[in-house]
Order: sequence, then C-alpha cells, then structure tokens
Amino acid sequence: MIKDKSPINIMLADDDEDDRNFFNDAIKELKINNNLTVFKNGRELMDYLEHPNTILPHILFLDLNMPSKNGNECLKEIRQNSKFKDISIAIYSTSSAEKDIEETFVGGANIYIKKPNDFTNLKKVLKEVVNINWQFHTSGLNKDTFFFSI
Amino acid sequence: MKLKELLTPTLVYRTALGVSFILVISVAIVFHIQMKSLNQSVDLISDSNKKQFELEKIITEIIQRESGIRSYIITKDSLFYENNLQLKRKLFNGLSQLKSGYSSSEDIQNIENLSKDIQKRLALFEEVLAISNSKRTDPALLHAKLIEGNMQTKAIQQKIYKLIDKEVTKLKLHNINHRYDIETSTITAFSLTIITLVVLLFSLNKINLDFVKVRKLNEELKFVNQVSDNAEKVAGISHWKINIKTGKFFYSDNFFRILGLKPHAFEQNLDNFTPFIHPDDVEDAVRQHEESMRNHTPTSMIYRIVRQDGEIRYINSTGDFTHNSKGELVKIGVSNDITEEYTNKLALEEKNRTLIAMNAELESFNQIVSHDLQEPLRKIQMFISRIEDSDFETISEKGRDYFSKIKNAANRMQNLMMDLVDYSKTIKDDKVFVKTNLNKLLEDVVHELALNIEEKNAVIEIGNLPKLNTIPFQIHQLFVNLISNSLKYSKETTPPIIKIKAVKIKNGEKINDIELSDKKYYKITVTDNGIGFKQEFSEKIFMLFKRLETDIDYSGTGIGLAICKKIIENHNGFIKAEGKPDIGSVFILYLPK
Amino acid sequence: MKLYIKYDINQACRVILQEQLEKFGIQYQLLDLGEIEFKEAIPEEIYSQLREALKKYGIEMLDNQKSQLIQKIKDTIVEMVYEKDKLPTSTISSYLSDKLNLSYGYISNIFSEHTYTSIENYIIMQKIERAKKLIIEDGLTLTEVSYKLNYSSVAHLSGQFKKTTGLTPSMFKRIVDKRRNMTKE
Repeated sequence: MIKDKSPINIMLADDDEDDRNFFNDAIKELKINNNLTVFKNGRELMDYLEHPNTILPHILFLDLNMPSKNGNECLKEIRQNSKFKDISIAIYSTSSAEKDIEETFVGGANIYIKKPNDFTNLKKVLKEVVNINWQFHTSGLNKDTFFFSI
Repeated sequence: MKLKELLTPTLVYRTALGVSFILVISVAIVFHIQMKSLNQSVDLISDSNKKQFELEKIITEIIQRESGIRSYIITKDSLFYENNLQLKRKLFNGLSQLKSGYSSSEDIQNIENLSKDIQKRLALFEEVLAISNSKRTDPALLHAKLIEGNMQTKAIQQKIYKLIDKEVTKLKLHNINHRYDIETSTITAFSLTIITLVVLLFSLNKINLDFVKVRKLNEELKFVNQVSDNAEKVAGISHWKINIKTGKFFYSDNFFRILGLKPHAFEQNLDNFTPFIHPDDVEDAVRQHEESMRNHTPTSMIYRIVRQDGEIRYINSTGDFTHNSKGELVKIGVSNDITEEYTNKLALEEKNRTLIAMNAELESFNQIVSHDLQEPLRKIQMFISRIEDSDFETISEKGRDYFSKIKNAANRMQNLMMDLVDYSKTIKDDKVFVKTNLNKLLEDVVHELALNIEEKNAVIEIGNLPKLNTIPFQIHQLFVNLISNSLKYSKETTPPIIKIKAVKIKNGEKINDIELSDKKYYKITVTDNGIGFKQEFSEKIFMLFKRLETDIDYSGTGIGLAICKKIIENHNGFIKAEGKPDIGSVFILYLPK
Repeated sequence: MKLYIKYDINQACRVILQEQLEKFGIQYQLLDLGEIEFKEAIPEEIYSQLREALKKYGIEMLDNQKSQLIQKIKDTIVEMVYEKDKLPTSTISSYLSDKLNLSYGYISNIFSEHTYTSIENYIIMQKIERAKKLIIEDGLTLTEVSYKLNYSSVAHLSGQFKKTTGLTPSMFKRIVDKRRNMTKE
C-alpha cells in the first residue's frame, strides 16, 4: 500500500516565470519523489491534459490570473470532464479574497493556496498540501468534502 | 326610460304648460256653452212674454167688446162699439201669431179650442146686438143672451189664464234649471281657473328654482374650469380632444401656455400644432398619432417642442379613445410638460453612471491593491527570503541589519495594503441591510479567529445580543477587527478575556452632544483585559494611520479601528473607546434599532 | 434530480470480497478490521489474480507486515471515531495500545514513519472528517458536534476545523450547499 517508490505527478500552470521558478525550487528542496510538469497558461495545460497519452497528475496547481484561459476556466473544464475526476485541484493565487476562495471551492477546487511571500513558507505549504492530498487518497476520505485552504 | 329622466325640468315645464292650456280651453268651452244657454233663455222669456201679452190682449179686447156692447144697449150710442169685423181681424191675427209661437201639439190644440170659443163669443155679440137693435126688443131674451155672453167670456178668460199660467210655470221651471246650470258651470270654471293658476304658479316656482340652481351650477362650472385651468398651469398639464366624426380639435388653455403662447393663439388643428414639435421628433410623433387615429389605439409618447423663443420643452403625451355624450368617437389625451422631471432624471442617471463608474474604479483600485501591487511586493519578499536562505551568511553584519529592515518594511507594506482593501470595501456603495442575528454572526467571527484565539489561550464571552438590520459582512469585519485588536494588545502574562454584551442605555447618555435613548439604539460593549490605553487617546485611535506610541512593540497598520469607525458610521451608529493603561479597554458601539 | 445516499463502506467491501473470493474458489473467513483468514495455502498465480481483481474495486491486498499493522492502526482509529457513538474518554494512546496489544511508542513510531503524519494528526483528520459528515448529513450544530466528538469546547473544535480545512464551519457548509445546488441545476 505504501508507494514509497512511486512518484507523485504534479502539474503547475502559472504565467509568472518567477513564481514557476520558486515553485520548482521549493518542490525540489522538498525531496519528494515527483514528476513536475509546468505550463505557462491555461490553454497549454488543457491541450496537454486532453491528449489521450497524457499521464494525469495527482495534484494540479492552478494560478487564477493567466492569459489565454484563466484558472477558473480551466477549473470548469476539468470538473466537467469525468476523465479528470481523480485529479486534486489546488488553486495557487495571489488573492486571499474570501469571495475567490468560496467561488473556486464551489467550482470544484480542493485546495486553495494563497501564494506565500516567504520561500520557507512556500516549502511548508507545498509539503502540507502534498501530504494532506496523500492522506485523503490513502485514507479513503470523502473527496466531495475535501477542502483545504492555506 | 328611467324615472329620473322623466323628471327632467323641461319635461315638467312642458307638462305644466300643456295642462294649463287644456284647462284654459276647458274654461272657454264651459263659458261658451253657458252663453249659448243664456241666449236661449232670453229668447224663451221674450217669447213667453209675447204669448202672455197676446193672450192678455185677446181677453182684454173681448171684455172691452162686452162692456162696449152693454154700454150701447143702454145708451144706444154707436160710439161704444167698433166695427165687428175689425175686431174679428185683430183677434185672429193675435191668435194666429200665438199659434205660430207654439210648437207642441197640445198647445196648438189649446189655441184652436180658444179660437173656436172666441168665434162663438163673437157670434153671440152679433146676436145680442141684433136683439137690442130690433124694434121689438124682448128684454127677457136680451137678458138671457147677455148672461150667456158673460158666461162665455168668463170661460174664455179662464182658458186664457190657464194658458198664461202654463207659460208662467214653464218659465219658472226653466229658470230653476237654468240657475242650477249657471251655478255648476261657474264653479267648474272657477275651479279650473284656480287649478290653472296653481299649475302655472308651481311651474313658475320650479322654473325659478331651477334657474337659481342652473345659475349656481354655471358658476361652479366656471369656478371648476378656472381651478382646473390653474391646476393645469401649475402642474404643467394640458388636455385635448379630437372628435373623430367632425374632425374638430380642442386644446385646453394650458396647452397653448406650454407652447409658450396665449390661450387660443392659433386655430385648433394638427397642422397648426406640428410646427412646434422638435424637428427630430416630429416625424415619429406624427406617425404614431396617425397610426393611432387609423387603428383607434391609445398612444403614449415623449417628444420635444420648440417654443418661439427657441426654448426646448419635453412633453409626455398620452391619449386614448372614448365616446362623448352624443355617442361620437373622440380621442382625448393629456400632454404634460415633463421638462423638469426629465432633466432631473437625466441628471440622476448621469449621477448614477458616475457612481457606478466610481464604484467600478474603486473595485479596480481594490483589484490593483490586492493583486497587482501585491504581486511585485510578494516577489520582493520572496527574493528576500531566498537570499536569507542561501546567501545570508555571506552578507556583512550591517547588510544583514539592512536586510531585516527591508523585510520589516515590506511586511508592513503588505499589511497596509490588505487593510486598505478592507477599508475601501467599507466605502463601497453596495450597502444592503439585512436583519442579522448578532449572536450567530459572532459565532462565525469566533470560528474565523479560532486559531488566533487558541494560540493566545483567550476566552471570548458573548452575552445575549440583539437582532438588528446590518450590512452583515461589514459588522463581521467590525467584530473581527475589535476582537483581533483585543487579542493583539493583550498582556503577555495574562490570557485575554474578551466580553461582548448588550447593555441598557442609561438616561441622559450622550455622545458628541447627541442624547441617546434606549428606545432608539442598542449599546454593545467589547471589553478586554489587555494593555489598555490612556483616555486622552480615545479619539485618536480611530483615525486612519494613527498609531499610539505603545504600538511600537506591536505590529499594526492603524487602519483596523478606522475601519470600525467607518463601518459604524455606515450603520448610522457611534463608536467610542474607554481605556485604562494596564487594565484594559472598552469599545462601546451604539447601533440604531 | 439528485439523490443522496448513505452507505456502509464496510458492508460494501465485505460483499465485494465475498464475491471475489468465492469466484476464485478460496476457502476463507472474514475477520474484523479488514483481515481475511485463508483456510489453505493459495498458489502464487491465483494470489496475484485475486490482487488484480480486487484492485479494480480500490481494495489492495497488503503483504507487508508493517503495512498490515499500519492499516490496522488506521482502522482502529476510524472505528474509534466512527463506530462509537461517543468517543472514549480514556486517552487515545492507552485505547490504541489496549486494542492492538502493542506499546504506544512503537505504534506511534511505525505510523509516522510510513504515513508522513503522526497518529495525533491522523486522529484529528479523521475527527474533522466525521465532523464534516455530521454538519452536512445530520445538520448538527458545532456545539452538538463538539459534544459528540468529545471536544473540550466549541472553540477547540472550530480551531481544529480551521487548522485542518482552512475554513470556518459555516463557510464549509455554504460551499457544500452551493455545490449541491449547482449539480442539481
């Protein structure tokens, strides 16, 4: 049952290069066995996801403000396709507005991350998110009520 | 027909006049008949008198003859007797006249009998005369003949008296009857005249009364017309009528005034009016009007008119079809001068647009602050932390000091921006008041601050709070800020105890010289056992960006309490603070009931 | 139309297990806590076939001794949180060591070693998971939930709820309600 060896598939869609780099660095430093795929916008992400040969991610990190298909549009498309029902979606945004948090959760997101302003914090957050997602999957918890806002 | 219609004044007059006319004619007829019968009576009397006279003349002649003959016998003077033939002619003339005067057979028979008796008598006269003239007069015979003659005369006399009596009786009878007739007819005529008079008087009175009424009504109508004209003038309303059958137009006085003209300044028809309509509106207005005239559909339109001095007025015109009292189809309508309302509306719309634009601007400002400004700041913070993680050791002592200062400044800036967003939310105009259960709302607030509360080991005591109309998210923010404030300024050594409760307002309690009454306001207090503040700062703490000296040890932006004040103002309430250093502070809220 | 169902996951698993085991003609006995006792040795080939068949249903066969123990710990915790109407008042450590007949130190170590989390966190996670259910399905208030799950205070529960989900219970409920309304439409 414990897949120590099997890597966790992670995807990130974010238009900001710095943020992509911070994310990449943080994941690397976490020393989690992972496959990270990064996209510059929502269209790239969706095109990739919809390709039949794509190995679907365990967690998808979605920035909300992106050119050519924003995070909300991606979220909607993914949640309308039952093929993607097992993907955990983590919104990764600058906004901490309650309205945005509520809307994305209602729209089908599982995790909402307000982008941290400290690298240590980012690592901590990512670790926690990966962990909690893993717990959810391995402990058979109800995915319909899986919300985590950090 | 309804009874009321039957009783219209004109009908009453007509009936009264008719009745009077019939009555007067009746009176005339009655008098005519009466006159006629009077004439007959006069004829009857004169006729009867004539008969009596004739009869009396006959008997007188006979008696005279008798006494003449006697006188002759005694005197033998021929002077005493006339020619017998002459007498005879006289008598029978009278008799034949009498005879022609009678009509009934009985009377004629009587006359004939009389005439025979007279003849007999006349013969006897001749006999007596002969006897007395004879040479040898037989006195006895003469005597006998004289007595016989006397007897006959008496018989004739009796018969004549009888006839006269009969005439008198007839006359008498007629008289009695006739008098009765006259009496009845006089009474009838008199009563008819009286009735006529009464009817005429009644109708005259009625006419008089009605006339007074009509005059009054007329005056009232005049007054009403005046009032309505004035009302139209004041309200900028006018009305108009178009008779579809006759094609006649009517515009009320104020219609002309709205056009900037004197009443009835032009002949009332469409062609004279259309030139006043604004060139841009005239086509549409006329088209709508013509369509409505064709299909008899109501119209409602707004168009502009241009007065002679060039002033433009906005007119709202509505019209519909109905039937007038003659049953003719008419289009009636009202045209209002809505220039003021219209321009006000336009101004209001403009204001609303500005407001919406301002709100949108505020929204985008929020977006800028909360997102666009945060992004670069977050990156600055991120890079600082990256350097701290990896290259901190290689930086000089001074550099490290600067570095932590940069970091603090960046953090503070971030907090400021967050609070600014919160503050700007309280300015936004989308204030929707909802009946709110404060206890429920505070439950949520406490859940939101659960981690903070747990961390500080704080106790929050919440009393029975009222339900009141609030902008819920703002009141939520208010209590988040107040409780956060109390948690932040708590004493390090003692766990915070924060009490929130509703308190009765004392009589004469004032804020800013405004007396507050328990009937109008709720008073809610938030009390803590924190570090408190000097009472002299009680106003300053609510000011934007004002921080107290004691704040140095505490991170804060100086916006939190300013937001609280703004929120309370949005709710038309008051907030004040009382503090005692090292003992704690009380925040007092007054919210309208 | 949307229908809400409540299901007994244990009962469902038992039925699936029974069906599959009988399909392969295996002599077995189902024990509590996800344990199966095989009456006879099973050939390697059938064993792997069974493993594949069960995988389709999300049921994994555990062969590692430690893994089995961890699953047992988890099951014990879940049972403790769910099955009991009221959580035991005795300390969790003694409850677990009593149940599993192992020292708590050993249990705790082996658990965190393999699950990236501590037993304490795992219990919190499960308790909050149950709290979510109680809030949504049974419509309990937070006070009622905190009593049922043996929290010392509502504040304590709401603190843990916030820590575990990042949300307040009312926002959590609002999100679930809105989601349900959305799928209904």
